[in-house]
Amino acid sequence: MLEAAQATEPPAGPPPEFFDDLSAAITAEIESGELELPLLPTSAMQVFHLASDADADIGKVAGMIETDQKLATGVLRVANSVAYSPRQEIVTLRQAIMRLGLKSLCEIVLGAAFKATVFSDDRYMEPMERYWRTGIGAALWAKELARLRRKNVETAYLCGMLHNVGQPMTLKIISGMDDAPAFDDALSEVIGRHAVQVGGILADRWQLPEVVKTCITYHDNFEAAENYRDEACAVRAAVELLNSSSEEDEDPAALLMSQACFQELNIYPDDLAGLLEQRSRLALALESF
Amino acid sequence: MSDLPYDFVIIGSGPAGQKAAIQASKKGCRVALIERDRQVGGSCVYRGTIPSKTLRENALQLARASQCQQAVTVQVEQHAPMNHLMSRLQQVLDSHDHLIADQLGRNGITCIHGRATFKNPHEVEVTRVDGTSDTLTGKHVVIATGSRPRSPDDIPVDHEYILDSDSVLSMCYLPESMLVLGSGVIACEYASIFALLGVKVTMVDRFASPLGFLDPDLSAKFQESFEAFGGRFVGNAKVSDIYWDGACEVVARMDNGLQLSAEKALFALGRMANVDSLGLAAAGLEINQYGILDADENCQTKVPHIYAVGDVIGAPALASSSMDQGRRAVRHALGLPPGAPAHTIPSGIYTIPEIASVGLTELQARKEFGSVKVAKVDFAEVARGQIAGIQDGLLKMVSDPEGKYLLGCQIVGEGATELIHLAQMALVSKQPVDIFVENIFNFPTLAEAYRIGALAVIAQRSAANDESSLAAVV
Repeated sequence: MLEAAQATEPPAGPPPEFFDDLSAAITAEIESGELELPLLPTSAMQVFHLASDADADIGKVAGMIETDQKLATGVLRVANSVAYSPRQEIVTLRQAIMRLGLKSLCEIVLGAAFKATVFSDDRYMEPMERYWRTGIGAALWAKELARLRRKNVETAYLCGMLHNVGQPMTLKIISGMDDAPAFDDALSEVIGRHAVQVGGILADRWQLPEVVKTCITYHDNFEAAENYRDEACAVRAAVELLNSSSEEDEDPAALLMSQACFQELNIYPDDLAGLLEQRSRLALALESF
Repeated sequence: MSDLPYDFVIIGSGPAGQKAAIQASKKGCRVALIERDRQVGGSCVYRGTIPSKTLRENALQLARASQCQQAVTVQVEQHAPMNHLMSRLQQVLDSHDHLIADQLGRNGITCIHGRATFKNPHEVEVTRVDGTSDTLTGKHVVIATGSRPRSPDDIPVDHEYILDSDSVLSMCYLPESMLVLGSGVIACEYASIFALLGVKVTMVDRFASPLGFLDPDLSAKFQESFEAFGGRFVGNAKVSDIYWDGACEVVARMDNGLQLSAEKALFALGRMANVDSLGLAAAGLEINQYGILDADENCQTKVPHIYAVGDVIGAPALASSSMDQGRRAVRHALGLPPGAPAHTIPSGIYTIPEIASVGLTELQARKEFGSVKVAKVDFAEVARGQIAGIQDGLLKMVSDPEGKYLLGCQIVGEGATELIHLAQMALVSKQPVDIFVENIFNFPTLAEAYRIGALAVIAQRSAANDESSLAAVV
């Protein structure tokens, strides 16, 4: 019996010192100033430029997306998802653009671009997918919070989507190391130590708006934000709402109301109840990404 | 929280509520001030007044700098981040918050953070953000809950492409073009600020001219300035349909067949009173057909111990008039004389250029007195106007038919909201128009326009006297 139990135990992970060394290696890489960070795919950038052109030709946009196979697949998958409820299957990019509109397409392209560039790694597919869902889920909730509070939803979406970008980026750095370990709690803790800093560096490198950088840096510690404290706090609240949705708690209101971020945002119980009514709709939308 | 009843329970801590609370406290009353937001001062101030004035100030600084274009080149980048254009905002907001909180604390006012609901005409339940609640009893209740942007069902304000005056300042970047629906105070303020920043602004309204409540010459002066820095006004057009095209533009179709489009749209057609959660019926009150509360000249509602002040009773809905209403309501409740008459309260519109008014407009004066004497002074005639490059200004003095006393004054031009106080003092102290001639102002200042205006009124008076003397001789 004892032997059987031992046989099913997972192999022991690396010792604690390993993670300290790993953390030190990440710090060294950051401090070297030569951190390798991805660029946004050219195709995504081009689609953005085209989509903001009033005279943009749909055929041209479709052609541009077609040049990036991953992007094209992502767009078609989302266009056919429940969130966009197509009456019939969408099989061409031109159909997808007509159905979604260029702006929605832009959001999808942006999402797909981030997913392909930042939130993917062959070695760590499962945690990357989890980080991605947290980003998109927070973005969807941040949008709803912004609507409720009469704030700009465009900014809220971007802040939500990228708030945790430091986590996949740190994991990517680890993945590039020779002795990259399996993903577990200890590794997750190491990632947590560096994610904010790495996210900040990426924000600078991509020249993201200051508000987005603040949300990346301070979403877990919004009290410390000198500027954009409200936006950072809103992202925190969005993450809490997302977590409450995934926990399948039938009535998470009491728990949420005890969180400092909801007090800070001045969300009254009836406002929260209204927000929570969106849970199933947002869960459906999240599924589509 | 004490169970003892308060002399005044004041709901809302904006300019009207603050002044009501301070007035009551100064008279030795026990005052509770309920605010639903975390900060005292009123959400309108935090979401609108202060941020928009900060943006306005920065736009003006950029414009002033660009006047020296032989020495420096100043140009706002297309899609410039909004936060770069609103520097110092947080410091201004924090300092305002501290100032108000200190002032209320010094006066011994009990500030309570929560949402107020009437249980009956004298009892107000306060629900905190965490859901707990308390009940306050007030001998008098003052409703000063302010207003929020109106959002009619047929205008899909999504705070993303079609914005209202709350969400417009949280845009990430300065848009390339903007449609402004409406031509009232808020619409004109934002339209002129964004136009000065280089945004292609088109303002649309069903009225023939912007700021239609002003005398036509002042409205025309504003429109002239707005168009001079690239704005466009489309009057006599009502939006019949507005939507985001799903690609890159907001499209607005007008009832006259015109179609306009822009990167963003700002819907600024009116505000609605914040009364939803007040439970007015329990207090024996209801809103009228315009969605606001009825109150008399002393801000007393039909329930005698309940007063309503500020935006909840509608126009003029300016901070200055709201402050006066707050003070007036409390004085009336305490049986004290109300003080200065309401018509001597100035109104300031922070368009670019500024507009200010006190007393009667020319149209109002003519309606009340028949013939009146009017003097108009162009700022281009004033040395300071030339020096400061403020040549698009106009000061208009309206005096009684005899040309002796000032009835009102309107000013359009930078500095108008400060300059108007001279006219206010003359009105309050019932000074003859001659006071502006008999006293010397600093030179060069824009106040010189008063002297020029007064001389013009006196000249009309003398001419009229000469004519009547001549008529008597004949």
